[in-house]
Amino acid sequence: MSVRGYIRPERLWQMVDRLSTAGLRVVAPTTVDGLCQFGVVTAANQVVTDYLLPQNTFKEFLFPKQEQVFTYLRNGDGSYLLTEPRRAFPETVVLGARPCDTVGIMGSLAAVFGGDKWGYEDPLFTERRRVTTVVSFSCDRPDISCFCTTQGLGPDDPKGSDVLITRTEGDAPVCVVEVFSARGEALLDHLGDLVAADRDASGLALARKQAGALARERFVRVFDISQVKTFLDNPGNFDDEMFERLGTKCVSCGVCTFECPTCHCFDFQDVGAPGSGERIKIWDSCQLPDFTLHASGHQPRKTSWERYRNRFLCKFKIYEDAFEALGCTGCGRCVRDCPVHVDITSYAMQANKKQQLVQIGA
Amino acid sequence: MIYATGIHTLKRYASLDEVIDQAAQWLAAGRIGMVVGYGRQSPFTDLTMPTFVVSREQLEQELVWNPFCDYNLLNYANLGARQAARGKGGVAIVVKPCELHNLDILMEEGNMSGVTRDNVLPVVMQCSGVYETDGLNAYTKEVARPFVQTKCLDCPEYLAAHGAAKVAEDKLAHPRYLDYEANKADDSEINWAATLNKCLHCYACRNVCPSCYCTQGCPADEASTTHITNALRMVKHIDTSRQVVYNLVRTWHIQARCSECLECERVCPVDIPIMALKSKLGREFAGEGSPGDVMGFLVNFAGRIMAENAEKERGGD
Repeated sequence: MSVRGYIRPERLWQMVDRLSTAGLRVVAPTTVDGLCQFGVVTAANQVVTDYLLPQNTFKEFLFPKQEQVFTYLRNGDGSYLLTEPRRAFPETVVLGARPCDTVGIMGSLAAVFGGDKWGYEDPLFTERRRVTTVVSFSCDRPDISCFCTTQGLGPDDPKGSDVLITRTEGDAPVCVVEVFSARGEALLDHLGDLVAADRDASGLALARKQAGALARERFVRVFDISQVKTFLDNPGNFDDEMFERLGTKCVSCGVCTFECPTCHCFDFQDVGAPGSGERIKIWDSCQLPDFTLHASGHQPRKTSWERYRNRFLCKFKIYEDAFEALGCTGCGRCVRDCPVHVDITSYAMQANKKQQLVQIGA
Repeated sequence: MIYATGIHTLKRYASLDEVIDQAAQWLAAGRIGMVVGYGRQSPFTDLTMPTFVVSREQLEQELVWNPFCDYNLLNYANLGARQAARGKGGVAIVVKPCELHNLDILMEEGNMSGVTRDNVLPVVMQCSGVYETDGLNAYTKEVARPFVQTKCLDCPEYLAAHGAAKVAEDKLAHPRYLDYEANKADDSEINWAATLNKCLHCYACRNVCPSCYCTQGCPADEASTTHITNALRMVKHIDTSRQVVYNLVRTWHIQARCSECLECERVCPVDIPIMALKSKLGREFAGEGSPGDVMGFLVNFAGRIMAENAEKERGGD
């Protein structure tokens, strides 16, 4: 049994104070530039408590938007001196992550940057992941764009979380604390008496399970994607008419990819002069027209719909084939924030329907 | 600015039925090959997604018109030239009255944008305001009260539809309108270098801008931005960032070609006040710039906001 006790709802965010005092860097939903975003906080009063999902994911604390890889300096003899910056990897606790983000980042991104499947390990991501503890909060009120249940997850899914906290329903709600890893155990030591253990664990487990089931019922965007992978696996469907018909709507910006918990593409740029400067690693997006643009001028994905097809394939096929991880966790950010409201779920529904029709016909 | 394209006096359509009849006639006569309109996004919401339809049946099935038709479909005006090149006439595009200025600009620059009176037929809807879908971030149908977009509060159509009292009330209740107005007039509170450095380089502002219609060679592209940043560093010894360069280049490029449709501000995921930057650039150019040396002005401007930033950071210590 993973239930360790409960925290009273009004004391929930005191975790920030306790963990900060213990010298940990705490990342939680806070107000950054007027928006609810994950940011570093040091006290409970900096936290936005009434949130569904922060605008950004916490992936930028493991895979920053922009970071220096090294600086370069040309010596007199024409050789280059490369200097890696001194990097700090502070012990970090992410508080209040949602299960969709946690699965996306600690599961899927980790499979790309440090997975056994394809044998590559990104040293920076791995190092940051090693010092990061994720405390997820179960959702109780999904919005109209949430679709994690369709993606095989749920509002109270513990995958990837070190600690999962679920608020129970009813007159006297409590926040049930469950621990899933050794890092989670270590975190409990810092919380001390904040986590009360004076109630029967099996009762708490039951109430927590009921809360999860109730939240699950509140999902609106529920649909069938069982046939999507089969549809995409058929090479003949690569040129299906739906890709051009639906994908032409895309305006080729990168909002969906930058807000996505599982998007991981990056680029290197040299900033500075030929004699001295820095090489930076920055987020890149497969939706931008100069992504995979060859030096010759050849562009394998010329149009917006070809790029959107690539993203769709990445989420529903490539991730599974190449990394054995979930490509889309159903957080719904790309649905919420698309400038023209292009909706990846309507794509998935159409692909699913097409495959179903094939099966009925066969 | 007065334009001579005559589109501002076009008929306003009150209902979708009228639109469907007219568009179907145009389609049947071969005047157009496609209608660009608003269609339903998904069965779950009232949000809309662009739709491209080619027959009367599709028009009847797919077209919608509601306050969630928030974005600017003239972004797809280049489809008109593409249709015309295939010998299919052109496209009809559903537009809101406030977007007609964008169409003016596109037609004025027709030799570059490819938009002409022949290949783009605007279908102008009567509009009584569209909602800020940004506020739907945590939207559930029961709880959130949608509010209209900032631009609607300055719109004569909105005023005509709802009356002055309602407009005044909405301005006060709107979560962003007052800030927006204040920032445009006076930006002394804003640390520009820090604000622009939030930019993610997602290019949403550029890609939804009807005036940004180039398909290649944009000086704000990722690689070009880095080159310009490097050049500033090497030649002018100004240490800026790619984010600052991108925003200055793009904002300057639409400076006199902007209809303030506010699409860029609406879609920015990090809420950069782009219109305030545009106003600032305009004000300062009027004060010190000369048309013969735009580059010199922009370089000085970049240097100035970096210096101000350094000052503010020192002051904060």
